[in-house]
Amino acid sequence: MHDDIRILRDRDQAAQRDIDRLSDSAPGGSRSLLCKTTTVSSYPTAAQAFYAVFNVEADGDESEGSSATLTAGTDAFYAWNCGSAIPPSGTCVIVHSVAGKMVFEFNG
Amino acid sequence: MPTGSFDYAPEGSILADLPAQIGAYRYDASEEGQAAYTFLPNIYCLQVQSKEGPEPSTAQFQYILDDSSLNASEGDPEDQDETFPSQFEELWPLESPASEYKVVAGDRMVVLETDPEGNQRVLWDGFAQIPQVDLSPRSQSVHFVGVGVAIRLWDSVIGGRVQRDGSKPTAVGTATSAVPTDLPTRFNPADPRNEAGLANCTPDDCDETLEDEDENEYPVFLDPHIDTPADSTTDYRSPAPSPEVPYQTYWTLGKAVRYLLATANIGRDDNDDLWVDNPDFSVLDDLFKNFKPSGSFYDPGDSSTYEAKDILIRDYDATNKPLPEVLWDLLAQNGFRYRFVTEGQAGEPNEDGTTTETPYTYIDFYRFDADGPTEPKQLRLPVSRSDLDPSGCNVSSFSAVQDLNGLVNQWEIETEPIRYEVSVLLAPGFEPTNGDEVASTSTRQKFLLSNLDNATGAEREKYRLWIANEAGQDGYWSIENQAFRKPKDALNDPIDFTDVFKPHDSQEKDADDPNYVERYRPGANRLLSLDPSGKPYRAQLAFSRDYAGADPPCLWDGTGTWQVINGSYRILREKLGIYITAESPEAWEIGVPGPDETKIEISGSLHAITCLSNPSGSGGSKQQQQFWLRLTTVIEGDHCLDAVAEDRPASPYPFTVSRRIDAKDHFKKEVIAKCSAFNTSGDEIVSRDDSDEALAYARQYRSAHEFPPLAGNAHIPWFTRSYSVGDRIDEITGRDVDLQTNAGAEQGEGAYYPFVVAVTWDFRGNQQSTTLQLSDRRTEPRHI
Repeated sequence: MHDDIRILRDRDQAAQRDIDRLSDSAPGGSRSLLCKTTTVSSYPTAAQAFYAVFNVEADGDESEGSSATLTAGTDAFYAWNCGSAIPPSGTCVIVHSVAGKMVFEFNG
Repeated sequence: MPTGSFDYAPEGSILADLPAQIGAYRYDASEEGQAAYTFLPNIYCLQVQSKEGPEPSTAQFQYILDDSSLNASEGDPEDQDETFPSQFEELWPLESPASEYKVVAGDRMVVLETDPEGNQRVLWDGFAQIPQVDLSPRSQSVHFVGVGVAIRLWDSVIGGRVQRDGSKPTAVGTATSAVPTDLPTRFNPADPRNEAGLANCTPDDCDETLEDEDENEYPVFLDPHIDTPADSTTDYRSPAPSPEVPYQTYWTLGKAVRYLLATANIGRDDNDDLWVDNPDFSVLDDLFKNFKPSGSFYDPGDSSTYEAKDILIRDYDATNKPLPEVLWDLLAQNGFRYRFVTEGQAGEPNEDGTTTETPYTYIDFYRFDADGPTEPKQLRLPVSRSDLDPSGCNVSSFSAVQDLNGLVNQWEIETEPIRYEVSVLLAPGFEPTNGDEVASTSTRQKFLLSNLDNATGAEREKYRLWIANEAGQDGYWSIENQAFRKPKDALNDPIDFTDVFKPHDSQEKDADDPNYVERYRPGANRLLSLDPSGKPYRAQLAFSRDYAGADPPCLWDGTGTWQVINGSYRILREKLGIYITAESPEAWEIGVPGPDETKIEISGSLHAITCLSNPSGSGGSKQQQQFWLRLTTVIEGDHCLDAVAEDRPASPYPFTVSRRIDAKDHFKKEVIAKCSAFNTSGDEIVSRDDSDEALAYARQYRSAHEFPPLAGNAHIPWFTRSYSVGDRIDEITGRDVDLQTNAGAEQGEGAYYPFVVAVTWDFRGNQQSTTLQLSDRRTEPRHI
């Protein structure tokens, strides 16, 4: 086989491998989650604190007036409340990823 | 019963005899018998030459330009209309006057030999093609060359392929089982995405049938990407194969030759007969096989000494090439040949009781080894000082060279390196700094993607680059020791692949010799393990908070609880590792685990800065605990698959001359290592191994090149039809010169003799002669 053909084929194969390595994973971006506050050991007594939260999945018939079924997870993580009120335990909140921390706002 | 005896001592042959009566005739295939032939008395056949391979036979003719031969027919000799053309201007220019004694380009001509009884035998059949004039002050001559009917195979080239509907891959004889297309006729195409050849032939035993008297069968093309359904019970296609057997098969030499002859040999004469008839297809698959010797020696004529295996075609595109050249490309390198044979077919006797043959041309394939198409023949040359007797001597001159320069007795197949699917624990390729996790412009925000344009090299990699240090020249963070290992640090350990890369069985190595070299091995994004739909998995990155195995970088030992990371990273292209592409490593979006997946971090985000710069202990916040990364990917080893056809004792050369064949586009070996996260068997899994096929390929090359060709020629001082292209010459009797070119006859090795590759009949001058050319149409040595 002529050397040029061999070299061209190797280049083509290397290019195919590079293309293949291009990540097709989801791009980064801020994440929002529907969560429900919970108590792990001791529920916070101040508004602006880290609260333990479960993620919650909402399901139901998407029609006006119908109710949703909420299914909570069992693994807790922590989100900081930037609001002015203490959410009761079990309150649904929207949690956002902000600069590396999970944050929600509850003002009552 | 009376008995008796007598002695018979035949006299020797006479020293001279009448030459064979050779005539040139114009041929009209629409007539039969003698009526098909028109004798051309003013044309003299000088020479006929037949050759092997993609070269039609040729014949040289010369016009008799002689004013004394003016009487072309009975009648007034001064009537110029009844004379032969005697000047070159009457013959050579395209616009020269037409004449029944003038041959124009494209005229069909036959050379006949007439024996003393008047029976006529066909010597050559073809078309006048190349007129030439030579004019000098003292003479003029007009010649032309005729080319054998096989030239009609060059009238067209191979176009688009014939392909079968993907929905009915096993159906035959229907409107959609052989659909003509304009797609390239490419056999077993290589696919860089799969890094191997693709099978694109129809299943075995599902061949189309040619509409000829032999009802020859041939395969066609099939889409290489259609999948065999996983559940054959719901498959609407019938008959459905078992799920493990794909529809597509690889093209072998036999299948490709049958397809080409069926679809490309389509030129027909006015009688609707093929110009060059096909052989019986049923014998071709068995003919085009490689013979794997059972021992050190084997005889191709004795099937007990070998195991026959199919020869797979590598990526070959036949589009836009003439059929004979494609056949030669495919066959010659694998030790096969073909010849165009023109014979005469006896017809009804003529009115005078003589017979006149009808020309018939066909293509004949044969092995170019010790199992040639015919029994070996001999040349005759008595010992010196013997009585001159033509019956004991048919060689007037002989020259030969045994070209050991052209011998190669060991062949190795070069493939891509063996590929291994592995799971490796990556180490941080940077040194974390306590305090980097603090949210300020001088710390955590420094590592935002938007801030990296003005960052230093170290900052660009910090908290993003995870590596395996496979070349031993990268610094990395030892998680276990919480210390940075610089490249030249004595404690800097490259990842150990000993349990992954195993040596070949044929490799001669000591126990201390390494199985691999430390070098960079970028991972691939496509794994060897297949998902339930039969598609390969993508490379996988996962993290764990409870891994307790060896300190990375290392192979995964199977321990720990792992959650797959679904986003915001890319596989490095220059080394084994990953690079986090999230806007902030502190908010590395890894995706939320599904209900059936392992859940370690359900927030969907990892703190890739805090967990390294200031990890919390086991009692601290889970989101701030140290984590480990495991990458499952495919890497290259350092060796190709083991396919070496070693030199055999039958090769007469005392040295091993070795060559390699580049087959990287076709054969491969792939291994799912024991450490792969997708391998639950407890041992490595060989997912693909083409070693046997590659070895068969190498053996075929060895068969074609391991014996030195005996090139030369033998001159017989008369016209004889006893020798044909494809015959083998085993000895010069009288002198008892054995022309065998290989060793091992006593051990059962089949004898390899030189082949006749060209036969030239010369009718010039006062003596007719026959020249045989052996094994190669040259006598000078050639260097590889």
